[in-house]
Amino acid sequence: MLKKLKWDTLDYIHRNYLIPLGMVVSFVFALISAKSGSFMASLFTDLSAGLAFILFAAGLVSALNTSYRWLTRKSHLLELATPLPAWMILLSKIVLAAVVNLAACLFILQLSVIWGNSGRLILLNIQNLKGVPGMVLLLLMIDCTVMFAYIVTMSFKRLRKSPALSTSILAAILLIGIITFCALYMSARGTLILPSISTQNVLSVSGSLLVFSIVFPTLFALATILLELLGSSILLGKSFEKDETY
Amino acid sequence: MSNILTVKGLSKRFFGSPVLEDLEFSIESGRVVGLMGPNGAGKTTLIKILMQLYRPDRGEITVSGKPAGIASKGLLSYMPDTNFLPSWMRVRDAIHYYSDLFVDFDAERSRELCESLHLARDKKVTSLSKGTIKRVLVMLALSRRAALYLLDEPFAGIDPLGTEQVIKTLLTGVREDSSVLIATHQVKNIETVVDDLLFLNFGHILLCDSAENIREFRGQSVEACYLEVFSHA
Repeated sequence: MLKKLKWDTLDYIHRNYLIPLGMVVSFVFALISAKSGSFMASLFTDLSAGLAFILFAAGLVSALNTSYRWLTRKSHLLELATPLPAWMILLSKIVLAAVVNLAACLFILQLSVIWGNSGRLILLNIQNLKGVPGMVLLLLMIDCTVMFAYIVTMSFKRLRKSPALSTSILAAILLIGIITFCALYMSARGTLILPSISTQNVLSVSGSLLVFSIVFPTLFALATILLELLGSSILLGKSFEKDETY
Repeated sequence: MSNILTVKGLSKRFFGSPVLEDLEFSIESGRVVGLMGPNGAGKTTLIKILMQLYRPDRGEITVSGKPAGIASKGLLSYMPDTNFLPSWMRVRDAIHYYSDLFVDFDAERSRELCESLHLARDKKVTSLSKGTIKRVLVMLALSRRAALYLLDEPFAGIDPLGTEQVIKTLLTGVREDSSVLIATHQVKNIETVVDDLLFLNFGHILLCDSAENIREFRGQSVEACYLEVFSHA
């Protein structure tokens, strides 16, 4: 499992090395802004912010790609030819996707702290990190749902004919269903917290993320991820088929 | 001799069209089997089903007595008809990948094969010519101590010298307790290597016999037999 994770990580770094590189540049711009005059400071802050939001989005997309896009490449034949059980192959992808999501969230939060302190390097504190596990869990649930939708699509002959459309529709149905069920259940029990974002501190995003500090949505998201991992593993091992000639 | 591979009643359809129909055959240990047929005969599909990359609609597959599954997959060494290595990999990365993920990978053997097939370990796979990529894939597949080697079109795109090197590797590299299934339509190339022949056409087995029988009883070369069988198919 660790060896598989090692190769998945190497594969991720080789394909997405520009993302961590850009993150470092964005950090440097943010830190330089403290040592510059007012015009240069705002220029570097703008550059850092522009780059940061693009890289944050790129990080999330790369995590999504890590979870399912490997199955669309020719190299999936190599991975599926290894004598590893399907669950182990998928778990390695999901762990990597979680780490990438976490890194992207920490990156944008850390930069927010630097921007909020005029370019001074102040590290994240526990208060800042409160919403991160919930955010990572939510992002991972989305990644797993898309992966599950793709594997379901490629496991049934009728769906296999138009994989992009089938995967999109199935993932959308699943995600809307999951979120609606969770919201309805929580509102019925009076535990739903509406999202609120503080304007005083960009980091104190509450409600939407703190929803995951309540036991039910956390367990529900975890259960969804585990069920999708289980379902995907069974289908990948028993009925998944893909060929570039389709 | 014991059977390394047994296939019974194997059928596969793609979008309603039959690709393989009720195939039955077995491969004994220590044999090199030529799976031959024209384009579209079902060779690659059969190999992918053996590797569990495709699912059969019907039929049974056993490898060294084990039904198709994770355990049986570990006994198979697969070389696909296209380059399946990630674009960023160098030859040495591919060797390390195999060494990490296949317990039967023999690093010493891979070194020997790199030398005999004239492969530079520090070259990026995508920078290599088509023929050299094929030789890399052959090297990786044959560096494993597998029970059955599944080679899909190992000679496609290789020049005569490269073909000769691959054939030499096959002749010297296969142990007595393992077998090789080579899917190809380049009959001449494997004339000297194969022990058994399996002619496949539109999903049906047209002939399953040993090369010795073909030469002795039919009085034909493998190529002549291939041409005769397929011209009447």
